[in-house]
Amino acid sequence: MISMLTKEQAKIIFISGMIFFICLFVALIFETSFMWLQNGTPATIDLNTKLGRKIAYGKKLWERYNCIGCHTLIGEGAYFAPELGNAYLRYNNDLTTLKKLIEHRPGEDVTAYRMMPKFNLSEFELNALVEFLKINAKIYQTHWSLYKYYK
Amino acid sequence: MCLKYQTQSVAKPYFIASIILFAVQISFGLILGLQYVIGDFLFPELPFNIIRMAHTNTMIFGLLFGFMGAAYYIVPEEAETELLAPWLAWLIFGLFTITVIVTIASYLAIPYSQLVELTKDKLFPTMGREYMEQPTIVKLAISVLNLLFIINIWGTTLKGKKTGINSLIILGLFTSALLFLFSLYNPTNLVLNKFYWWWMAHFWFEAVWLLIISAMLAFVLIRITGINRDIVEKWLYIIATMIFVTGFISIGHHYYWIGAPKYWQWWGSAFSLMQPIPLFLIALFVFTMVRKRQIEHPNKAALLWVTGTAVIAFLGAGLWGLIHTLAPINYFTHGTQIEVAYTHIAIYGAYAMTIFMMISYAMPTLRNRKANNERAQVVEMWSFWLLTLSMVFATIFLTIAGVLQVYMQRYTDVPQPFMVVQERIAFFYWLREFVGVIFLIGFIVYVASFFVKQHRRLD
Ligand code: HEM
Ligand SMILES: [Fe+2]
Repeated sequence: MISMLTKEQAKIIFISGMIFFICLFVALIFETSFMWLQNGTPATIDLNTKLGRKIAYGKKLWERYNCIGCHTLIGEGAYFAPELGNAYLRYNNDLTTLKKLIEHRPGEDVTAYRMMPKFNLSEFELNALVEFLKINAKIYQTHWSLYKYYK
Repeated sequence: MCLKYQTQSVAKPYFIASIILFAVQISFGLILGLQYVIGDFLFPELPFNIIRMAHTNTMIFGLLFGFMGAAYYIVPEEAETELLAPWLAWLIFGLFTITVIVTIASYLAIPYSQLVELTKDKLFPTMGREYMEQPTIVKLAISVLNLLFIINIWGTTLKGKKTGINSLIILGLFTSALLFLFSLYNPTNLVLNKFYWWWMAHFWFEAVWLLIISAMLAFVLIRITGINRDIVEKWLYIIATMIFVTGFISIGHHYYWIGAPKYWQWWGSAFSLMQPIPLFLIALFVFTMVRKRQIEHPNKAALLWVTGTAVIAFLGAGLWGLIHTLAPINYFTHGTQIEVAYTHIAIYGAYAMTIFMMISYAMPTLRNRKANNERAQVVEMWSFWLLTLSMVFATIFLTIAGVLQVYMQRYTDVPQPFMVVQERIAFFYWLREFVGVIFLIGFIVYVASFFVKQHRRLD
């Protein structure tokens, strides 16, 4: 089949194929963006509210301590430590337990199988982080819903 | 003189840097593998996440050095003219090397949160995301160096002959540099964040870098098989077509669970089902060209790398991608060891091996000979088998670990917690670490092959 083509024809196929599929891709991205514009992006936060700013700060902390370097968040990240997109669901929507887990993990006194660094977070920082986890659980629950099986 | 153009010699330091970074990457990989089974190894001084970013960042930097070296070697020879500005290539090399060393050293030297503070990430937050851990200022430096690099090679083609290989490699390198700019975009909303994060990650690994390596393969194939350029470049265009036909919309396979509209599950599944096609074509291309070769090139080691790449890239990037890409399967496998198995065989097969191939073909000419002596080639072929087989076995062990993980943690009626499952599959992590050591030995043999001299004949 390939022997029937000339190089020039192959080049034209390449250029037109590339243009066509870029257009199709861009159309799909526009469609998604319009949907989000109309219905709001899932888990949008309002930076004008106190809670919204807290969540945004939680995300900053998430990045600052590079949590993604060990954990997955909705399946993406490293595979060394448990998924955190569903942590809020796994601990029965209990923020206090989550905060305790971040600050004082069972592994601290006895050597655990794998260790998590100690970050010495303030109460304010802890609150921001767990609010960040809470809003992500919403994405997780509506779009993956694997938590039914996944501890 | 074995070089067609003097200025091709700037490729040499790039290749050497790529090899050194690969050594560093393997060492970090072995530490990670140990931390998987000995949880407090090097803790708390060097926690897993720090070593992991060192491992993945040295990989990215090493591949970039490899691609740049390949481009400096290929572009002048194809354009039939000297490089536009060899001094600029050296300057970029120096600055890039310093940037890389400082970045990796800073990961290891101070806690990451301190690095975030020190580099004033607050002003323009981009750090703390997978593969994009570099300080913002480093990202900017890399972008500028990328731009200068593109100017240098593009300018070279403008004053010389235009060929299909050159057009495609430059298209690949240019879009690769452009996509890196997405590392500077960090929206607060997590859905948007993930949505655009993949523009760099997916398009790099599953589109434009495939274009670069196809052009590299075509370049070497013309030279070691003696087959007519028109035939080779025709194949190259067909492969490039299929890379883009399947590569753009298959980004949908990353949009299944992150809050994007549902239709991406259909688009993503359908198009990534076709993703093995370009990799199959690459394999078909390489084997057809090698079978119909018109000349016997003395560099047998390069020939082995060419065919090996074709096989392992198809196996890794093609088949191992296919097994977990459909939405209903990905629902269970996403975020498990199946993905670790896949990234290793795919990146090794498609990228690390092509760079080895390029070095194998180019390095002898950069050292003033057409091919290495026979003994050196035999040693190099040994390293090929050690590296490749140990990576295949690592993939098999990780895949078994992944299947067990999916079953015990997600699929059965009595799912167990993550940590419990990790301990139960630790045996396979030990096996992975074991073949990782063999991989390191393979790498040492590879480096040794550069220094092997021909025996004097006694008879
Ligand atoms: C001795 C050899 C190696 C060992 C023992 C090793 C080990 C590891 C480990 C333990 C991880 C972390 C997985 C996790 O996040 O939980 C990792 C990640 C990674 N490694 Fe390696 N590695 C090796 C060589 C390589 C090579 C040769 C490449 C590519 C050329 C590579 C590319 C990667 C990538 C891309 C990731 C991120 C994985 C992902 O997000 O799915 N590694 N490696
Ligand atoms: Fe992808």
